[in-house]
Amino acid sequence: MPRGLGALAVLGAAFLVLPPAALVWRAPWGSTLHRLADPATLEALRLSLVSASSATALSLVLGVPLAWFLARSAARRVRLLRALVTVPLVLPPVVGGVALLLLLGRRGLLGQYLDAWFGVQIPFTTLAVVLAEAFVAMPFLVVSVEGALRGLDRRFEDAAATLGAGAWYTARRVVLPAVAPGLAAGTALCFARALGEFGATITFAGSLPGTTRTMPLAIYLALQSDPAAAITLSLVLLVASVVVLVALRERWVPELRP
Amino acid sequence: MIAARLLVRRAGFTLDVDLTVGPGEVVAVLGPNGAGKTTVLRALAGLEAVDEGRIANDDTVWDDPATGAWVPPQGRGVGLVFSEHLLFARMSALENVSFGLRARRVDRRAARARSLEWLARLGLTELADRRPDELSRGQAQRVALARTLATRPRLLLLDEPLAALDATVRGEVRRHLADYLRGEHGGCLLVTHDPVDATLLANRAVVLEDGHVTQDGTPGELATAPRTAWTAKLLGVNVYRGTSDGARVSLDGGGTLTAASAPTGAVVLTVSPASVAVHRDRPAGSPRNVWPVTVTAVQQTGHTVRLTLEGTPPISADLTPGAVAELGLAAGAHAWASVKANEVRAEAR
Amino acid sequence: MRRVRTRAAALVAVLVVGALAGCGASTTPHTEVTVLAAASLTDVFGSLAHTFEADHPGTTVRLSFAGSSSLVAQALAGAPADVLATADTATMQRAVDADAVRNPAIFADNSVEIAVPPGNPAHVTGLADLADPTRTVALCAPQVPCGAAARATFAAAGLTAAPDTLEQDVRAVLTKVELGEVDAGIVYRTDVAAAGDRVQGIRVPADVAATNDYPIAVLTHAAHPDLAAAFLALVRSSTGAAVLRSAGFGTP
Repeated sequence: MPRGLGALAVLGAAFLVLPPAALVWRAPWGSTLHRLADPATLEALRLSLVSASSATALSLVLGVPLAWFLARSAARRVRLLRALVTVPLVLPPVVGGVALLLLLGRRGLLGQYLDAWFGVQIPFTTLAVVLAEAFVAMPFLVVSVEGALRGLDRRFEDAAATLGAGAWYTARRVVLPAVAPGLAAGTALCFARALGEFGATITFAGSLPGTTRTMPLAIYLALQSDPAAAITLSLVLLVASVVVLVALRERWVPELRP
Repeated sequence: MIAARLLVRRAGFTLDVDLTVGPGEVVAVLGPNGAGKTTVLRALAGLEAVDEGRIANDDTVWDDPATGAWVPPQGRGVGLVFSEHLLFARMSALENVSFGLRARRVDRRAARARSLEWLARLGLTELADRRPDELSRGQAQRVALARTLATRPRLLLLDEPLAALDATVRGEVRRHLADYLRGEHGGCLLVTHDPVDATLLANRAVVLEDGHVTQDGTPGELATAPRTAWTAKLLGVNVYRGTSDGARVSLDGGGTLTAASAPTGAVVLTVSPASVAVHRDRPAGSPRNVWPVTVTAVQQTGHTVRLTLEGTPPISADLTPGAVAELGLAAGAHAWASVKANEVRAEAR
Repeated sequence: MRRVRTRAAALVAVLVVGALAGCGASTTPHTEVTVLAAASLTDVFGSLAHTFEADHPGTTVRLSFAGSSSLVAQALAGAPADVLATADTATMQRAVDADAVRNPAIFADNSVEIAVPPGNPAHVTGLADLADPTRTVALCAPQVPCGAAARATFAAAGLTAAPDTLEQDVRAVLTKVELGEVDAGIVYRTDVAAAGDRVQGIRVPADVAATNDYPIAVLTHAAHPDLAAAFLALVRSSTGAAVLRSAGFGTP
């Protein structure tokens, strides 16, 4: 590595590490513990973990097949589709929330029929939180898994087929294990993004304690009236996400263990 | 008995091949890169469909675009071994060998027992629990062979199975392969670049050039009577095209050679490198063909040294290391080549 | 916790002072009177500033809009300004306590109103409908002023609100009403007036509707106390009252 790059790397690390460090440094540790036991905090944390996990699960169920399709289709035909499905990556999340309302809101393109035919209203429910988070986070999973699938030597699948394995058996025992690191990285990114999701959630799902007010929403609200409380909540979110991501890594991708 | 007529069209390339592989037969497929050898294997394995033609195993049609008949790879009972082992990285050697059996719903214990038998046959018992990254290349390739053979393929397809191995382990893997092929099996198609593989393993050899079969015969027939320069070169034989007046042949590339007997008109001449003599000074005796040459390459292969000689015509000569040393032949040296007329074989073309 | 907040406010103040000073360097010889005003006054004060500049040739009114707490923090940090107008008396009292202003006067009031989508599809008629769990209702979170006002209003009416979402600010409530995603929301009268025909307002009885008084005062460190007093007088004049009322404010 050229020497000049080392200095920039140090700067880059500092840029990413110091702001969270400041958060930890300035945290009102004295009041942290009793705030942790605050039912409202626990409720927001529980809701955040449940909804981010659900959004991640939904992303896996829908995103992995999508990534597979994108990775295995002739490049030109799917170029537009690939660009379209990564739009949520660049869309401001608040706009994403409005877009979801325009589709699934009770006057939305689809939502009006859901309401009229089934009496189903999605906004302001926990399901809306899950959908908003998945909308914003799934592209991370798709991009990461698609990359892993593209990097995989197709001849492993050829070998499996000539050994007598059907497509599902090959997918389960050959392809998924081979892309596991990419899948795990994508899942972790997806979960982290879902956990931190704010804009799309507040726009599409609203903010009601216990139903739709996740940690980021609680933090933003606290910032308006009680910045110290906001810092404490941010720490809780920080710790929760680190714990989950480390656990995920240990459990599913032992190879990535440091 | 596999009978196939394969017609596959790609941009700028057409593969058009008729091929049969009988039970117990080992057919070597030789040919330059890009000749379509791998496409033949992939079509037979069912990894690619033919555009026209028909592939049948006895009475079962595997692929026939005209009738729409199609059997996918997993239904053909074909085994395919690549030059890279392509073992599944997250499985042990034993799990890799069991893979095909488990995919065919053989129960776990039976699959394990049969896999261990195959590992033992290939001398891999000790390595059953190793992961592919803990095996040497030769060991990994033997595991890959065991993985394929454990499924008892009715047609074994080998795509340059020894090409990625270095010389020391190549012989060992080849021996295991030869052991298997000597026994009872459904037939084997071996793609290779190595005439030694073809000679030692195959009953029959097919030369594929630019999508077409240019020669089909025993490896011996190919070596002694190659029909194209590629075959001659691969098997070490000098090939010239020329025009004959009955004895003297003017070569298309320049120079003349005299054959003991030759048809008149367009001919192919072959000269075995072993029959070429090399001298430091112009020889006085009887040879009819004597011409000055320059040594451009000296390469030892086994017990002989292959000299590449530039001249009119250029020629390859095989000498003993002793002779090379005695003559002081090195790249750049000037010398004389001579070939007896009765060593020049001529065929009408 | 208090330290964190004060530091943040000081930082904001420094940035604002810097910005004002930077602009000041390039000004013409004109006199400038600087007004710090609550964000809800943006349209009204913008219009009154034009009137004031027309009446006082050679004078420019600089308007700085922000949340009331931020405005008071700026005033206390010594931002060069002449007039302070906040959206409630409690924040103004902080400025009084710190001697930054004297004798603030109430010039307007604003009270909550029910906003419904055009056509009122859910047939909302009053506060009681917002206590009905079958209706979809958006309120501000109690931590922000519009939410506190909504809570006080329901308490005064003896009702328990049944909100489906507690938004971060009044703008978010209004958006959800405009999109028709909720049947009703509680916002300010001025918000309904500003939204035009995108929403419809339903009055809350005056005896229960929470009302904010808007106080205005001349800053003690004003550079142009006379002009500041003149602007204050314009705001409290009948001209000012007419502009305020057309924007939905009440006037004393």
